[in-house]
Amino acid sequence: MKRQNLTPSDAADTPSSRRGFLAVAAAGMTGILLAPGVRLIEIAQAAAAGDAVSAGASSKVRWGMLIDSTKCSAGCTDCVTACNTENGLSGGTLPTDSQWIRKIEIKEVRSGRTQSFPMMCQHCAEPPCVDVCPTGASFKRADGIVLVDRHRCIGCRYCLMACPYKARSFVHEPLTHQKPDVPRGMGTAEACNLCVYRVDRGEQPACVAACAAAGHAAILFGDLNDPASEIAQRVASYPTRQIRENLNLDTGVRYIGI
Amino acid sequence: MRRNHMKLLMHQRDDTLRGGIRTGKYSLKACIACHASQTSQSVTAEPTNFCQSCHSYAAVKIDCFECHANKPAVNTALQQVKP
Amino acid sequence: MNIVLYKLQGGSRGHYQLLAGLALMLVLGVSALLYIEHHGHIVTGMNNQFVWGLPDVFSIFLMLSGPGALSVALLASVFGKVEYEPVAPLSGLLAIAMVFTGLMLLMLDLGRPDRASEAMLHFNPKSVLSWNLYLYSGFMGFVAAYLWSLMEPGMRRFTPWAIGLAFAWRIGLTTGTGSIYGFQVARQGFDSAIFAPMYIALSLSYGLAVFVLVLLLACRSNSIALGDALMARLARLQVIFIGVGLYFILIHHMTNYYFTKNRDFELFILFDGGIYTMLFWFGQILLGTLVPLALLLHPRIAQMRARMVASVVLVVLGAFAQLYVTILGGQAQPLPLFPGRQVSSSFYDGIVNSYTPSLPEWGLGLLGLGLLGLIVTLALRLIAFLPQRLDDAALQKHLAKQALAAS
Repeated sequence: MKRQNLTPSDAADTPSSRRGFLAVAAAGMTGILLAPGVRLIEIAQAAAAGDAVSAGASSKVRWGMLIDSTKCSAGCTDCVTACNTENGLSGGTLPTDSQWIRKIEIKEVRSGRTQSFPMMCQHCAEPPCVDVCPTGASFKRADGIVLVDRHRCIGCRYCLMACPYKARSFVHEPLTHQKPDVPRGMGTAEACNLCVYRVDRGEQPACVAACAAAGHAAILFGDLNDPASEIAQRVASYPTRQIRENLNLDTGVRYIGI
Repeated sequence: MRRNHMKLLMHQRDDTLRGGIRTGKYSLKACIACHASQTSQSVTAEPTNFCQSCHSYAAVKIDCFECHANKPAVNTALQQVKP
Repeated sequence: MNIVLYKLQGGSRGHYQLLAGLALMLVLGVSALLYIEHHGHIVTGMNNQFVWGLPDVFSIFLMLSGPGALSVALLASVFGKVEYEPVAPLSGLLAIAMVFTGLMLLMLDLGRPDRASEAMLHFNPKSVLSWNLYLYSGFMGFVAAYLWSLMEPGMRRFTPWAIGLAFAWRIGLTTGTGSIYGFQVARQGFDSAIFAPMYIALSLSYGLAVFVLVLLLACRSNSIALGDALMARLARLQVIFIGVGLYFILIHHMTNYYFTKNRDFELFILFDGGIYTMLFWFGQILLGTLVPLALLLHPRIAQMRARMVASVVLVVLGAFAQLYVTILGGQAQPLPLFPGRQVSSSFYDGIVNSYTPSLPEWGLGLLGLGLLGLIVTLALRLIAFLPQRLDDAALQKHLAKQALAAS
């Protein structure tokens, strides 16, 4: 058989060089697939350290609400309207519309007795939504308010699935004319944030303010950790409960009368 | 500022959101309140507005205003009940 | 192993028609994706009650079948069943392709997929979806390393390492997939530790079915002789896997029914659930489990090949039915906010909601399947994955050679 001098183009066709290429490619692929996991863990740990809370929200405070359903009437939706206006929500009730607070009617089947009260994010101390969020966008602030960091939210909706109270909504369409205090956008999860920007200014959430202004005073807001606050005193003197308390989530929102 | 504005914005937004610090320097609302254009009342509505002027030249889509309002707050008398 | 592998021949009219069909699926899928991207999820059938819809069904199917398809390679290289060695490379290829496509489909259904890099930079150690990133990339990497060790001459000494790590990752991955549901305390349909082992069992069955389907198609299109000996072994394996899957399904439903607190949900799925009840009994149990078992176990029904094809197709259809019932049925039932009371609100509490998959969601499903088909077809054509003959004689020869090498 004639021996051929290997020219560069011939060399590319020989089995050994093809194998060599594939070996390098496969090793490279494996490295590329595995390396991000290694490198990104470093970055993630550094990022986590940088997330340390600075002054502003203090862990000495635990914001909570006490809702007295005996003062709540079936047809009244003052709190819902106030929330919608304050936060720029559409107020619509299509299955795709966001609802941060809603009035719930429950009926005792045997006796027919009905009750009505509002329900919103319960601001749990052990929030399932925070546990399941892959990016840490769903987080609990030092003072107990559970928020969504929409800069980080990737819209996976795991928190919507995981919330035992169905408190979270997902924004299904492009939004315009957001309230300047309340950034909201398509493709992210959202829920009642206890009007966190108002709380930080020393005011009360909009639903609380509206209910008080209308004279019902069914919702009380305050610092559960401060024994002198009205809410702490009421929780200490009256029987209050949390919804789905068997889940042991230690919610910040408590109820009287249900 | 042009080169570093994203570093600034990203750091301050975490302080605001996770730390609850909302003073003027940390507030995007405060930036917009001053920098919004007189004519369009916005920072991105027209190609000459504050943010849009560089971004349209660089052809970089601004993601911030998918969520954030690009206009300053309108001061109406809001009902406020102090705790 | 020392089996000579060959690339599949292309160039035939049928081959180009297949590629064209898959490319069309891809184009339709990408259009659906861009449509959803631009307009938001409002154009899909998903809403605040049905949070994860049809794309998730396709995605989870692929994420279950991928590790399951690796079973053949695991049997060959971990459990020493040398008769499966000739088809182990195909098993590895399918595992990688399906896990990759499943993950891609999951990421494309995100509300903000452009932020996917956030998921990598900010890692929540308590979130199963976070673990997935490392589980999936690790799995794909180790299987790729395994394939390389098989195909690169002289690298066989790395095979036990690569396949061992792939095995560990495979268990971790499917445990993670099951735990996405199992760790949720909110809903009656999910809150259960059994999801992890149940999904491992189901993944064995679904993965093997897809593997057999692809093997049959590949051999038929390239006239690779496929013997009854190998087919009989795969059939027996499929029966065992279907059986194990059925066991876990039964336990899950029985326990849910036994718990008074969960009985509402069980009665819903078993009797009152409309489409979910129909898909459960007719799709999952009858077509997906009982008929394939009957076909594979009964000695008189038709020929081996026809029975195999019918069984695995039915298992795959049953898989989609099972995932639809689990994922969507689990969301249809209202949350038990106030057990024992009737609940109503403007946010659809207390009522059974209904969901209809929209066209863009089917489009996303097509995207996943089309991409999977393209990856597998092109890979088989460009890289050597299959031996020339898989008939009984070749298998005998292979077993004899291995016995000689072992002694």
